[in-house]
Amino acid sequence: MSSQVALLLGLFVFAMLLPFIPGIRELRRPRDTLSLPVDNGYIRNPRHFARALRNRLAPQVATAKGEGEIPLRRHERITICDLLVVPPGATAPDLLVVRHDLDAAAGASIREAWVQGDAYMGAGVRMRGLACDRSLRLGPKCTVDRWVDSEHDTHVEPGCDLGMSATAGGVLRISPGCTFRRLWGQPIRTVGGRLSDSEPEPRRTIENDVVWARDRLSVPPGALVDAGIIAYGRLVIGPGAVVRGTVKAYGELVIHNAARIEGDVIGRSSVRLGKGSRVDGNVFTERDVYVGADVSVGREGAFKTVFAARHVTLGPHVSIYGWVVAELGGRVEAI
Amino acid sequence: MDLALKVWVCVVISVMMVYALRHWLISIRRLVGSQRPYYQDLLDSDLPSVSVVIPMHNEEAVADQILNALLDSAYPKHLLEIVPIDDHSDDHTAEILRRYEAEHSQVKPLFRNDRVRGKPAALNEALTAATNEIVLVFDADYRPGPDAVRALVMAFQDPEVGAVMGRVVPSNAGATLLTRLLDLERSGGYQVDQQARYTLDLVPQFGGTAGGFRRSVALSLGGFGPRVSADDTDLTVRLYLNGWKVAYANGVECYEEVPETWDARFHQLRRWSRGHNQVLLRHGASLLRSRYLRPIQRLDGMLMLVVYLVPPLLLSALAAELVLFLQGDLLLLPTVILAFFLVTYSEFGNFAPFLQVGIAGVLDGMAERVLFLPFFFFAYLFNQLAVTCGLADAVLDIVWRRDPIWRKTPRFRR
Repeated sequence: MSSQVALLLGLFVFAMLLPFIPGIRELRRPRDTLSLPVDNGYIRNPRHFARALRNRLAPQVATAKGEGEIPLRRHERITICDLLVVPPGATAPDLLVVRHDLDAAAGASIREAWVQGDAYMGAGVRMRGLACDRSLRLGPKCTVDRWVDSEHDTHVEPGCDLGMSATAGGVLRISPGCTFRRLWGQPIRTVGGRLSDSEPEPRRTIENDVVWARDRLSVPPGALVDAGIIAYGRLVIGPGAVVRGTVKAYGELVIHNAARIEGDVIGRSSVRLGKGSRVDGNVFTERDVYVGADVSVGREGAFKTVFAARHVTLGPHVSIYGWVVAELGGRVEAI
Repeated sequence: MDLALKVWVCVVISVMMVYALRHWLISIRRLVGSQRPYYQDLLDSDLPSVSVVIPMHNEEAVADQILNALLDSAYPKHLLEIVPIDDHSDDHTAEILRRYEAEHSQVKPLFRNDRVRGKPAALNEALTAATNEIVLVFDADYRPGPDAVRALVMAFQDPEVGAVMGRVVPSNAGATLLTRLLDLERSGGYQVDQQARYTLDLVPQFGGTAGGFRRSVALSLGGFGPRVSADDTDLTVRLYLNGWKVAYANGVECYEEVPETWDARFHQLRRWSRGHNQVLLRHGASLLRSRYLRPIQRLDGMLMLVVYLVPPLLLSALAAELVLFLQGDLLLLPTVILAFFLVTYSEFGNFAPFLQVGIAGVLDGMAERVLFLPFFFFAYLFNQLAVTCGLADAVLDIVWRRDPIWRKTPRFRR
């Protein structure tokens, strides 16, 4: 064998082995052997952020007496006080625990705070995270960088940006022009608007287990459908119609004024809930949801979800018992 | 004869091309654009009652863990029924189940000692014993998180969903070279392949564990075929043939144990291949004619079923090439084309191909473990052999009209 052939053969073997060398090194000196992380303690909780902050601060606060500062890791410190008034335009310290009420004047800035009384945020206040054990009021055009939560009611005035999550153990009242990603309230109510007109009485009855439609389907106004509906195209539920089951559509799903769905609403495309309509179950869509004026989702004493993989738009005087998720953002329609 | 061999080689090359194209499209779609949402974000106070079935055969090493994991579930206790099935165990599994039955009213074990052994038969018995419409199935070595039951159950809010499948993650990823490769393979298979198929509205597969189905639907379809080694694939296909859908929950992750020895892996693959090919023979023609599926879904369904037929096909094409070569009848051009597609297939072929695994590595934030990608070449050769043996089993099952004997994958937990 000539030296040239031997050289070529050697190069060929080297080229073949080259891709395996990093793997052989990893095999000999393992650096990445752990299983992919699975959070086996995770339970979906819309108020997770506030709970996590309270759990994090509670042990520190329990041992602290009076007012003062507690150093934490990474140059953080907790400032504990009984009452706090943040002056206009001022910035509150790192982490706040307020044993009673917090009052932030217009243009103030707060990082993260646990308020054990009521909290009032003036116009244009900016906050990163706020957990409030009683009631919370956000003035006009406040900005939430991450989340706000209250154990009781929360009132949000017009033009606020509610960040990643705004949650309330009681009523979450939101004014027009607000934007959000995730909302939780019992219920979530949008402010303004008029009450719906009286519902027309159902007239015709369609009975089956499930009504299937190959293409588009329209349920006549006032009809009573004693079944679920699956439509492979556009689905229109006429004004005043009642469907006693779940409705699903691959095309646009339009529920007209004062119609009622007693099951869930599932849309592979956009969903539009007309004025005064009512959904007893969940609303889930892979695109956008428009919730018209006076619409009600869920019922008192229970919780349901309105989920949109894209946007949610809420009209005035909407009541949603439970959770709203708008993956790409949501807003309350300006009147 | 020569012409027949050449035609055969071209057919196999065409199949390889289809798979290569499929893997490319699926991988790119997973990486680019929004993904179809799953139902886990639905929070609902009106949850249905659910039965969780756990087939067990000599599972004393893991029985406590899965039962404790389910008892710690956040799902409302009064809506949760746990049905572990002791299937002919000769270790202490039965004693463990009796202890849990005495201590927890939710645990209602089944003891099978005098009937046909195997997961399909056990599941059939559980179907009649379970009292709830929604049935979830976990293998005994799985460790579902506290939110897993709720997240899986939410898929059934959709009236078209007949079954749901979560994602499985190897718990013993770092044990051996094999487990490290299987860890990569699972990532590619679930994070990329299953998710993209769900997003593209193709035919994601129910894997028989870490998932569930509607009891009434499974019963109406005849339950689980005791003569089929891949009861999960069989149910998947029958669901699609009857107009139902399978949902995939990528965010519902659950640890499982993967084989640590090549022998155990060989028998596992051989069983899967046997079962898949049985299902292909039973339902392949019906799948192609299904009125409930769009053409692209039929194609995807067939590619799912044919996947365990491809390695023997490839071996046969290589043999044909060899014959043609020895006869001096192999033209240069077809050889180059064949070489190109063989390389393509080696790179993007079956069993969580390179591209899918690489993209899964990016999405899962893997660091050093992706360095094992080139080793898939050897795993691929190994798979060829196991899958071909599985095909032979499936054919012999038909020829000899024999029933498959259930061979459980051994546990390695220490």
